Amino acid sequence: MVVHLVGMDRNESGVADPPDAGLFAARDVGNVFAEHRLSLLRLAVLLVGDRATAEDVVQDAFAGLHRRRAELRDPDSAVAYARTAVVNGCRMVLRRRSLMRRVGISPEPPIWSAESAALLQEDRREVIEALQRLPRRRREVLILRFYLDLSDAEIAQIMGIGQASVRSTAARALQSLGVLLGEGA
Amino acid sequence: MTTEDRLREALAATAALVHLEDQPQTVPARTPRRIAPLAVAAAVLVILAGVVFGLRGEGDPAPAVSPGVAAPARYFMAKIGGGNTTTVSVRDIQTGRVTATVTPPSHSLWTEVSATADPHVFYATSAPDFGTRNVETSLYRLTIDATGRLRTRTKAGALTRNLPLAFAAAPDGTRVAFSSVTKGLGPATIEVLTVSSGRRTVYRTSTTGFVSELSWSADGRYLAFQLLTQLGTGYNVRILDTRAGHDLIRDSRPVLTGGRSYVSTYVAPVLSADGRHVYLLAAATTKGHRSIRVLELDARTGRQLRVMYEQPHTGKGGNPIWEFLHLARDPTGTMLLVVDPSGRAHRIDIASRHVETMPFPGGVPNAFTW
Repeated sequence: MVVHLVGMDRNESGVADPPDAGLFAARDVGNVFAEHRLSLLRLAVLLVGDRATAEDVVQDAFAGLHRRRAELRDPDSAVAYARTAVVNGCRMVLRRRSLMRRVGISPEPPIWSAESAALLQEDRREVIEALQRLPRRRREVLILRFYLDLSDAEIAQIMGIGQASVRSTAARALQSLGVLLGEGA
Repeated sequence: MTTEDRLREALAATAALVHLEDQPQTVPARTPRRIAPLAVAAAVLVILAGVVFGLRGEGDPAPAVSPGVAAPARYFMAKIGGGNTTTVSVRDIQTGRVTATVTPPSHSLWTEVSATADPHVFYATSAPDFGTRNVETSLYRLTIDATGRLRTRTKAGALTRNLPLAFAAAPDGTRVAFSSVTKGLGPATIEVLTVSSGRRTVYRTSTTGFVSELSWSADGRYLAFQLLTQLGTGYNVRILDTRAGHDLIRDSRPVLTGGRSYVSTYVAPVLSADGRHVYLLAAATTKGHRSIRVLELDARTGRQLRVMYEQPHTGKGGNPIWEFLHLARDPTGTMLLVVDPSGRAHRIDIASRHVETMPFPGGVPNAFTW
């Protein structure tokens, strides 16, 4: 993760404002936005399936990040906050969609089965479709671990569960995925 | 290939289908194209700066409230809380005593408060939920009497269905400025709503981003704002001439611009009543000691003029900038107000830099206005 920690130069009145590596400047919310927007957008697309909804979720996450910047202590916490907000936002979307389906309204087709499907090899689409058949929590753990390469501790923080739960959920999720892909246990 | 390998590859390939649509057009194209316009703009600004700021008072209408003429307002408002409960309280500026508590409309929360030049008139915004889009944020006019008690709480109309980020009532109370984020990623905008007619004037830029802070000059013409863009330049403080045009960049001029500024850790810019200075909160480190400062900058050049107030950073680690969350100016332009997390409010006399401290009971506010 690259985070710009912006130091202070000497000002014209001679007051020294040297760089301080421990500072998380308000302006770094902007840097987090610029640097992590794409990865968060991709994370949201993987979780909700379509770009338009994913953009809304990411936008909301950054708006929330901005509003709660007073609670942030460093850039890492800002990124963690944004990821958590994206995951939570995606959960809300999926919950809404579940209700919509009950009344016969279908959401946008997911990116891997719509116009972009041709760009994905058959094997990869099969994996993604199998992933979507997993329960929400298992799907989230796998995406956070195998797309973002997050540690168990980071995943636990984002999902609000214990690290042991992360490990057991991931193990079960991988096992289920293997079964769905015809790989056996 | 293992299940893990297949999954990793499939996720990466699917994610790679998603690109930032606006970045290729915006980022690479900006640098070369901005050189010539910036040179022209710089030349124009040198001229305009003299006209607008240096010669102010000769050609421009006088500020609605002259600094130093009237006494600072006796009462200010603060919003405390978040999540499911918010309270707006009226407080005595001399003692910090709460003189009234303003409850939000039913099933709603207070989201922002802003004072006007009339010491008895404030505006507040309210929404059913905090930080949610697609719900209506409403505008309320709050009036208090001479003893700081609430007189009226009147709905003044609908503000927006987008998610509001910043809000500031014009000093004469006829208009309110606000910024919001719309569905999807969009250009940074400021809307100015004329309360009586509902007429809206929109100032926007093509750059994707947010406007995060707003502050009016006393004459209601200039609007300082903090712009956060996706271009990684951090927060920029600019001053918009609301009579010049509707382009947020072309019709404004920079005070502080991202990494080029010596004040690189700052929040809460507040425009002086006469529009000549910007006050803000900035973090500083001198000989290993960290502190939070209230700075006065020249609005024309961005140059630091004075340190108005300084308080050592007492927290362990973290960023001293968060010692103070907000800065407010009284409508006459003579005083500033900051509140620290230990429950104290500090009144700063702008002319003398004399500071008086008073208690601020009831928790640290997340917004206040004077």
